[in-house]
Amino acid sequence: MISKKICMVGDFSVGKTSLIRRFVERQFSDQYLSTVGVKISRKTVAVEANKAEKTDVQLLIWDLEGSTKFKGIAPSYLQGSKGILVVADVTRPDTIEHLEDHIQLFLSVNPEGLIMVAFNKSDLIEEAKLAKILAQYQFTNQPKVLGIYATSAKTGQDVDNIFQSLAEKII
Amino acid sequence: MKGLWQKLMAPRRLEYLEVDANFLIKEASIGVYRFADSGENPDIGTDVRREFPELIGVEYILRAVLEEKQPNFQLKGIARLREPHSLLYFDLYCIADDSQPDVHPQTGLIILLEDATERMAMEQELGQVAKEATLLSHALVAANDYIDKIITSMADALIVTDSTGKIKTTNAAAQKLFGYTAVELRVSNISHIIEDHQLWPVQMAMGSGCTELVRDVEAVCQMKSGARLFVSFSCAAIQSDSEAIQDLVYIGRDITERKRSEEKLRLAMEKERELMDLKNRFVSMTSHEFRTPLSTIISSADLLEFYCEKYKDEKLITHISRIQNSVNQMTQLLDDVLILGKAEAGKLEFKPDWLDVEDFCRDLVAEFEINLAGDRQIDFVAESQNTIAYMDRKLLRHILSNLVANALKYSPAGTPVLFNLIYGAGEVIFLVQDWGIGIPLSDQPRIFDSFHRGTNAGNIPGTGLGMAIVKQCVELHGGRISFVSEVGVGTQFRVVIPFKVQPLPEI
Ligand SMILES: Nc1nc2c(ncn2[C@@H]2O[C@H](COP(=O)(O)OP(=O)(O)OP(=O)(O)O)[C@@H](O)[C@H]2O)c(=O)[nH]1
Ligand SMILES: [Mg+2]
Repeated sequence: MISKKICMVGDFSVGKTSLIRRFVERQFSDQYLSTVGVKISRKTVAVEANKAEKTDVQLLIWDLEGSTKFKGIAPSYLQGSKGILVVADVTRPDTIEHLEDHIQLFLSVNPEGLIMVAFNKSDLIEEAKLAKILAQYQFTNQPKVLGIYATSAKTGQDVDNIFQSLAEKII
Repeated sequence: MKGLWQKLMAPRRLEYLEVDANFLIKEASIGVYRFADSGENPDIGTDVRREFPELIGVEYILRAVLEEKQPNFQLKGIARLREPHSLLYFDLYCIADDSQPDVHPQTGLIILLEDATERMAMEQELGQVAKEATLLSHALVAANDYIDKIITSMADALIVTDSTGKIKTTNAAAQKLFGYTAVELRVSNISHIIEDHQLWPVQMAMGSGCTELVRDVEAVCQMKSGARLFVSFSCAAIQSDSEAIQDLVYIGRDITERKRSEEKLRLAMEKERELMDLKNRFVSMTSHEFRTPLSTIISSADLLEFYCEKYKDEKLITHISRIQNSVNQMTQLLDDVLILGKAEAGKLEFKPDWLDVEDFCRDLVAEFEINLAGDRQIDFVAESQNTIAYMDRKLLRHILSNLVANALKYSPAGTPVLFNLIYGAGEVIFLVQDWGIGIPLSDQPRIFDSFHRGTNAGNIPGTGLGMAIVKQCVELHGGRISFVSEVGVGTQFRVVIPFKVQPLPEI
């Protein structure tokens, strides 16, 4: 079975660990335990390799330490990553502003890498506000951004979808 | 080789692996299991990536190290979940095995694994505190912003003062309502704005444990411009950290408009009531006053009929003139009622124009003189050169003809009537004086009331409306009327009309 490395990238406390936890363990916790270093989780997903059949792919999901004002993301972790999930917290505008920087950093390490954008914690704001954010951040200038999702690790909304579609794209 | 490595590394809690160019394990130190994904020592000959999945994806870098294009490869802080909730961290460090310096590329890699749990745990703890603090301060700022937004967008005025009334905070609505800037308000005291003492902090019972002090109290307030407002206030004490110091928050709503419309409504109702009164009085008056002339008309007509048949001539003339007089009287009465009705309903129009008052008076006197008996005369005296003024002809005619007619009516034959026109400082004065029966003292306070007639008027005909009309017309001119009178001596009326009420004449 083939394995593919993908990374979770974004500011601290946007919900990277929580998204993995929801996707892999189908669980969620309100507690915040910040990640340091790197922790790999594995999950096998079935993707359509060609039209007829499905193949299994093992995703190696790298949970990285979120960036802060004082410490960025170490580029060495991003090496060899086929794609990333770049995550923002919809309740913190600065984390949305930083998405572009994270995308830049990833593409500087992997110019061919693919990107999914997760506007996470979508359970915390009203539909209208969410729609406004989604309309405002389309990343039309970033051809490597292949999908934009409003996710919630808490409710599980679009969590499977965003991982699944990243898997389909990097195959 | 193996022995040397182990001796070197054991004290530093280092483990190592040797792999070939295909990443198959050639050799491993006995403690490697601690860092392996499964927690067990890998078998020799198996792929190192099975236990170290961190190496998947970076094979191109490992090859570069093998080819000595890159000196090393390292990954720091790799986490392994050991017991539940306990993480172990290690750093992975990879170099080419250059024990055979002549071979290119090198035949294998050496992977060093060093425990980093302590370092990473410390990093985690420190980072956690810093991150939580940042989140908290963000949340605080956001909450503050939110409250600020609520306060600024509030339609009601908000003022926070300390316990002496010194203003600390205001919102946009308060600044707009009172016409001050935020800065001006901040150096001000609530007593400069609210006039009612009862709303000053010193006047309110504080510290009684209840935070709401007053609710919806109407107060007169002063704007910066000096203009006055009615504001409905609610006031509460804000419990601050120190119990002794209490701030007050005032929430005010402008109710000036409401007050104004209440006042308008009240006035409208008053006017309505006055009109009803007038109507009632008119109805009762018609039944009384119209009866006399009408019965005269009827009886005169009856007699006319009788005499016509019997005598023809002389008496006929008398009765015909009686009929005429009665009809005139009724017409006058109806005219007066109409004018007064208009005046009391506020519908009497004031349409001033430039006119020569002296000419106007002379014409009026001349009109009177045509019908005057031979022994009567009106002495008109004008004491000025320039007698142009801005007045309403129609109303002025009502004023003067009523006064002159009364003077003639209530004075005996042979006595003169004096009509005096005086130009004073900024005003025109009309004096009408007679030497007649006078107005009894008891009637004097009421002579301007409609339908009130002097008790000594006897059967001198009159509607009792003339003086009411005169007063209305004088007031429309912004003037005033007064009189002195003594029974049996005579009466003098004095009308003063300012001529400054006019706008400039339209050209
Ligand atoms: N309501 C809600 N809370 C979420 C969601 N995702 C994460 N959280 C909460 O947000 C906090 C941070 O979540 P993490 O998953 O630890 O965030 P992270 O991005 O891994 O943070 P770092 O590891 O510090 O970079 C936790 O308290 C989570 O419970 C979500 O979708 N909805
Ligand atoms: Mg995390």
